[in-house]
Amino acid sequence: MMVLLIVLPLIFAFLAAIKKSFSYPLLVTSTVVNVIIVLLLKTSVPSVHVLGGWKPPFGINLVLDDASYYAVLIANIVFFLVALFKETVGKYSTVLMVMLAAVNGFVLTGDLFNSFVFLEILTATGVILASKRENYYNAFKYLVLGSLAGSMYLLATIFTYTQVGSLNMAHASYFAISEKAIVVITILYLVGLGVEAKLFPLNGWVSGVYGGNDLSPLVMATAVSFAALYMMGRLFLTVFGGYALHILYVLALITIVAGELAALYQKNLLKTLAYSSIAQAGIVLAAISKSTEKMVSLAYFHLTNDVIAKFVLFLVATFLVYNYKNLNGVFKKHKVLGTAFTISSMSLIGFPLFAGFQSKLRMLMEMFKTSDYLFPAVLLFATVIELTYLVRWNVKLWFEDIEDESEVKGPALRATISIILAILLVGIFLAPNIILNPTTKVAKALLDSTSYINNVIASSMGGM
Amino acid sequence: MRRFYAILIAAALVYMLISFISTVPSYGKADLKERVSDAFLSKSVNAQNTKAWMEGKAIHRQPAKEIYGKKVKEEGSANVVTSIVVNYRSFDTLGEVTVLFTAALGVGLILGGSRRKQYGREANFVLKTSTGILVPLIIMFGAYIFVHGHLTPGGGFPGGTIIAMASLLLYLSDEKFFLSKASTGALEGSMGGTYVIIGLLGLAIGGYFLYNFLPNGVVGNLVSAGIVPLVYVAIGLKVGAELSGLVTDLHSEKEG
Amino acid sequence: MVFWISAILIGIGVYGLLTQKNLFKQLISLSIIDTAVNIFIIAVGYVDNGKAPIYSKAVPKFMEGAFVDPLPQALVLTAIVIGVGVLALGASLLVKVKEKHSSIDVENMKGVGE
Repeated sequence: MMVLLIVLPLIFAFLAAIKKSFSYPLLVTSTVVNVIIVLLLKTSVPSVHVLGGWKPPFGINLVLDDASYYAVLIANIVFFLVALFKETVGKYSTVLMVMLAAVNGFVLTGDLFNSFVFLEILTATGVILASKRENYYNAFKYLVLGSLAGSMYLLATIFTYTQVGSLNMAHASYFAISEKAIVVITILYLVGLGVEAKLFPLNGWVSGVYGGNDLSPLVMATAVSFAALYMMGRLFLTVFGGYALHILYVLALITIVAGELAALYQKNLLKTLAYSSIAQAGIVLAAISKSTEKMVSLAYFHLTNDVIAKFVLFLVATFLVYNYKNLNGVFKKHKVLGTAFTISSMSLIGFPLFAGFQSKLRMLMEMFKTSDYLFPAVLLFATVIELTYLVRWNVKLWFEDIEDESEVKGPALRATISIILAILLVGIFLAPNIILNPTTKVAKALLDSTSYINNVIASSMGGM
Repeated sequence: MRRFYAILIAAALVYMLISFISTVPSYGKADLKERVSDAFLSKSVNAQNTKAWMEGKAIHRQPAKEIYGKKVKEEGSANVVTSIVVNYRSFDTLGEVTVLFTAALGVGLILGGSRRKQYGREANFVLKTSTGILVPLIIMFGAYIFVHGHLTPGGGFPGGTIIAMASLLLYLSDEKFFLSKASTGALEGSMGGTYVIIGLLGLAIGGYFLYNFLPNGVVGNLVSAGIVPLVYVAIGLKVGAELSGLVTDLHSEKEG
Repeated sequence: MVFWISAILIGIGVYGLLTQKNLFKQLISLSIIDTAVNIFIIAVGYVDNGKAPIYSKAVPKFMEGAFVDPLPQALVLTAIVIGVGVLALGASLLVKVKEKHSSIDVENMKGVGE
């Protein structure tokens, strides 16, 4: 059943190659069908699909547990929402279908080489999306970094093969790899995933790609970013439990500071949001690197809040940037969009009444309990800077005198979706448990490598 | 200064890799018994016990099992690399086909050409005549390669690339030759669809995606190995169409 | 020895990627890294005196040490195809970069600032 999540978008993409004019309806169909399948899969967690009937660790297997279920759920909903915007999607529906398949495959797979293949598809589709609106140079930068990361990921995978003797994640997790080898393997994986996860110093592509057109930030800052950060947790917590986490911690802290400072000095709205996205990824990575159940759970809680907020912010910002020459006071013309934007940016900063407050406050409390003061200090510093630039942007967009007199008709769909998601952010503040319960399960699943291994082994007994 | 840092980073990376190399068995001394490949080579994946295998216990297989010219229940291709690529790890290959599909799609979207680019030079007599003779032979050779993918070295990807070379030759020898997007797109889409549908049939019949639901036959025969030749034919045609489309995109320009 | 060569080639590729200002040379550096990784993968699977893993009349049965490791070869096949795809994408992007910015040298490109 879960294999359909990967295969259906693919077959729809192949059909779209036959008849180009059907590609948009096929995209909408495949995203709707995928969301339905994900909801139906809820009852079959945890389960393992053995592809071709070849039992692990010999064949490839897909693993659906609490963690991958949650990631797949978020990714498919994001793609469904993006698919609703016909104008924005434009010629890129086939690419989006392939990307949807790749995100699902990347999250579900239980095989290291298979995840490399899906990572490369993600990079290739990401490059194509980034090249929209003649954004070629930035797309090229992304291609170079992305395929360098792919090479390192492949090298790490083959290194694991020489040590373990198979490419299976569960087997790699079970096998005691020698100290000397695992350090190199984890560092290479850190480089390999670091590009997609926006880790310093591999995030030079982000501002150009997110700030270059109206489609790539919507998908890449949300679904792809979630998948990459999920994989970080999967590899570094479940598979290679405990190694290279201190390196990840330090790099993540630098990522936060560098991202926030770059956002502060940025004059372009989309690029500001892109840098803020880097900083948020840093916060999530730093929390993951603490590898306690509470912190990992809060990391994914924070990531969920960030994904929702970023989706709204980019939805509004791309509309503004590509319709108005001068953004001063545009929210006077688009009050609903403006409200959604303000709510989301408040949530990003972490004001009380909005979701971001819950995740940031809980993280701080948790870190104080374990008397680690470096991360809280960086987090508070980041919050202050976020406050500065997001309030500045809000003031500029709401209150400054209008310079661009032209008025674009209010986009009803965009306004509806962004205001619903913004209200959801308030809802999460009031009842944080609707997100915290699943993310606690995610953290449990990621940290419990024994039951991950047992699930995979059990799947080989059941079948042939 | 930039060069200095670059040397530093590259040297650090090389040092790391070399320090890792000391943990790998030296060149030519790899022990396949510790790897999954042993089970692939002896076609005895089904006989393995995952848990025991992972614990490093003895591998369950008969020594010196006769394979060539015999019916092997598990897997039927004589070329073990093919049996891995299109059977044991077929899902990777589906991903691989998708990467190529994405690349062809992306090149089309980025370059956006819809008309043959004119270079204004005429191919000479030798090139034109030999193209006419060679193209059918090249296509036949490519088809031979992918039809025999489960028996000899080669398979869908090399076969498809050879076929694409035929269309490259046509592009070089004739300024007017132009493959329409619709035809290559239709072939590539339908062949990709065929691959997925074979996989879905396996899901419906055997309960596993890409399950081999056809009889394996005798190892070494042309008609053997179940779905493997079918998948390789689909891949061969798809790769041929895709790379021809890529060549087309590189030789076309925007209207007007 | 082969392992060392591939490690050094990776180093050369990374050095090229960091220093070259011409975008096409960066693409070539990537290609060098790709090739080096592929060499490493193939080398990992080599067994002394091992034959190509194909059953034939000459080698009809399975024997230990008779064949080289087939799995790395299958992986390399996948990796090569992926490399080709990425290279094609990169090259077509460069065509457009040249059209839009009138150069593919980072220092001479027009209209690329913040």
